Formats: sequence, structure tokens, C-alpha cells
Amino acid sequence: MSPRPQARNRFLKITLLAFFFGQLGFSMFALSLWGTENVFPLYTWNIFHTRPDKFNTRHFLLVSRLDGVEFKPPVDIFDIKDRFPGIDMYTFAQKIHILGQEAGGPAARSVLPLIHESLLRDHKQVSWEFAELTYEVIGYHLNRRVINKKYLGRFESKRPGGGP
Amino acid sequence: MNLNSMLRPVLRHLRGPRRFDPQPFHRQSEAFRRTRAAVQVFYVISLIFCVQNGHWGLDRLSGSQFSAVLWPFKIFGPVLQGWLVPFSVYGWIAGALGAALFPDSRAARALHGVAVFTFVGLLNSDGHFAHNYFAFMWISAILAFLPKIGDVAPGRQRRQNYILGFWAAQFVVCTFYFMTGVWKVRGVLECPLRGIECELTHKILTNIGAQELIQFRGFAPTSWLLFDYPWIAFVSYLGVIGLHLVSVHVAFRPHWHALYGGLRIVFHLGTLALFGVDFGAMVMPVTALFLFSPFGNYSALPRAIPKRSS
Repeated sequence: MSPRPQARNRFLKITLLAFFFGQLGFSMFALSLWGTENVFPLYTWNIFHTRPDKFNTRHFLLVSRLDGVEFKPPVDIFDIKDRFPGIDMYTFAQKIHILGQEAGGPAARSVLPLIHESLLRDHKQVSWEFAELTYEVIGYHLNRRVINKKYLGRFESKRPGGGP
Repeated sequence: MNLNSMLRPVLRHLRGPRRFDPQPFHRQSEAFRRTRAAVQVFYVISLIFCVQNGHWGLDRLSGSQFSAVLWPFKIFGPVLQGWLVPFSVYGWIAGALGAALFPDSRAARALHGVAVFTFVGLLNSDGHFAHNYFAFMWISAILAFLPKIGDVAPGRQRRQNYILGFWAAQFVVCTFYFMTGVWKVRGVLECPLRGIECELTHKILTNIGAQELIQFRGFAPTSWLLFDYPWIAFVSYLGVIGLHLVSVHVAFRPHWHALYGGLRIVFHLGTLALFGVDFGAMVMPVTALFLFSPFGNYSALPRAIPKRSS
């Protein structure tokens, strides 16, 4: 005997509601409960915080000194950013690019060669908080795996969800 | 008070006022016919997509180290690359071709669903999280369970189940978008709670664009728009958040489906033009499910099986 139409509709309704709220709840609490949101095949809303491939393509600069702040290279470009709170990412992108250009040689390639020209269009008018920066750029690496191979175990990410 | 009575006001609000339907049988038949066509369109689009991207998938997966194998594939061990990788791509193509030719064949739809599941799972087994493939995967999984349509004309019950199965796929995709919107709102609300500087300034999208370009070193043909006109970027960003947030609502509003699908596609093309972030894998199913929604143009989604008057 086939189920009543109303029962079928109710089954679908409850299934979809369970899917919706289950996914939502999972996305909200999975990180704190299980330490990860990347549970296949569930989708997660907080995906951009924990997406591991973000960390695979991070930029590591071999910078040892920047604006008087000492770094132990290689250092993640966003860790450099973290040391200079108060400037937004847009301004930071401009500044780090200029720094790389001023370094010349391989360092010029080391930072953001493909940033669109418009990002740099008005850099001359920017009053640099970093004007007095001194730094050394001694090379660059793009990929976490390259870094891991070369500097295996040298550093660990403090960020959740993956990464070196 | 049972669950149904608790949910009734919410569901009533979501589905809107009931309208008298002068031709319920005709409407259901028409919606069913269009739904079958939409299912076929989905598989055609899936076939085109996989044929176009299959070589990329094979290259990428064949060279993968599978450093973080996901749980469904752990038992396969060394056969991952030798057997599962080609199966995921060729199975996807074969399943999509079969389902495009014979959309009523559950075997073809199941093959397609399993292959897409395998492909996405393997793609994510290397520390990646290919979130733009999740819609493809879930839609394929749901459509695999559509009721069997035999040679005899299906009855009202079966037609309705078929229609609702397709609608369930639409709903699931809408929940993904909704969650993305909730995440963005939550990020803004967290600022005062955690005492951190709020990112919701007029340069928020400009900053996001700068970060994407720093991180991925990609080329985006119109990224200058973000930097030269941050206010336009800001307004469009708010619009996108709004579009995310109404997603679940739209699932219950069939006459909005086509408009919603169009706006979604504009949004995804926008990320490509502004950030260089490609969401082609989302554009394809959105096109099949919403832009050509079977409930969008002619008839609204039948809300109940039509009953014969006594």
C-alpha cells in the first residue's frame, strides 16, 4: 500500500528541514566540537576560514627584518600583515608590492607581480606609514609543499583547518 | 503542540498565500513535463562541463599525492590513482551521457552521481576543499533518487514525487547560498561582540579583492573597478549578501527562480571578472536548475497532488 500523499510530502518536508538545520548547526558548531568543518560530503558555510587550499597557496617571503621587526624566514605574508594591525589589506597590498619593487632583482618578483596595475596606480600619493621600513628580501617561495620540503618542521601554522 | 503545528506558520509565510488553481491537473502535467526536460538539461550541461574539464581533472588527480584522503576512499588504498581517478572522470562522462540520452534510467543517473561523488571526494583528498563542486555533487545525488518513470503514463502521485524530487535539489542549492550569506552576516555581527575592528567599511570588497590577488596571484580583467570605485563595490557586496540571504525564500517562490538564477550567474561571473575566481562549476547547475526552472515561466510549483472533485 503506497503511503498517503500527505505523508510523502511530510517526509520530504522533514527531510529537507533536517538537512537545512543539520547543515547549519554543523557549520556553526563543528569547529568547536570536532576541530574541523571539513567533513565530506557536508557543505560548510564557514568555508573560507578553513579551506586548506588557501594555505597551500600562501606566499612565504624570506624576510628577516621589516620596519625594525625581526622575522625568522620563511614567513607567511599574512603573518607579516598580522604584525602591522591597523592598515587594511588594500593598503598592505600596495605597500608590500612597492617594497618588493624597491628591492629589485629577484625580490621584485617575490611579491605580487600579478597584482593589477590599478592597485598600484596611485601609490605615489599614498603617505607611507612604512616609509622608513628597512628590510631584507632574500628569496621567495610560493607553495607550501615547496616550503615543507625545504624547511620541513621549521614552522607550524597557528590557524585551524590545515596548512603547514 | 506537535512539530507540524509549530512549523505551519513559518511554512505558510515561506510559501505565500494560496491561490485558487483553475486547472490543477493540467498544471501538474505541464510542470512534470518541464521537470523531465530540466533533468535532461542538467545532464547535458553536466556532460558538456565534464568533457571540457575532464582532462584538467585527470591531470590534476593523476599527479596528486592524496595527502589527506577522505573517509570514503581510505579503504581503497593504492587503487586510488590506478582505478578510481579514471573512473571518476570517465564515469562522470558516461553517466552524464547516459542520463542525457535516457533521463529515466536510474542506472545512468546513479553512475553519474557516484562518479561525481568520487571526483569531488578525490579532489578534496589532497588538502583542498573544492566547495564549488558541492552543488553538482548534491544535485546528482538527489536526482539519482527520482522516482522511476515507466512506459505507462505515471500517475499523479508519481508525477508529484518527481517534481518534488527536482525541487528538493533546488532547495539544497539554495541552502548552500543561504549559509554563505549567514556566514557573512555573522562575520559582521561578531565584530562588536569580540571587540575587533569591523571590516564592514566601504572598502570591504576592495580589501577582499586585494587579499585574493595577493593570495592567488591571479589575473582579474576588471579588478580595477574595485579599487577605483570602492563605493560601487561596497553596494554590490551588500546586494550579494542580500541575494544569499533570500535564497531559501526563493526556493519557495517559483516565479522568482529565473530571475534568481540570472542574478546568481551575474554574481559568479562577477567574481571571475573582479577576483579571477572561477565558479563555473556553480554556474552550470544554477543554469539548469533556476534559469530554466520548470516552475518559473509557465506554472508555479504544484503544492499538492491535484484531487479529483467528487
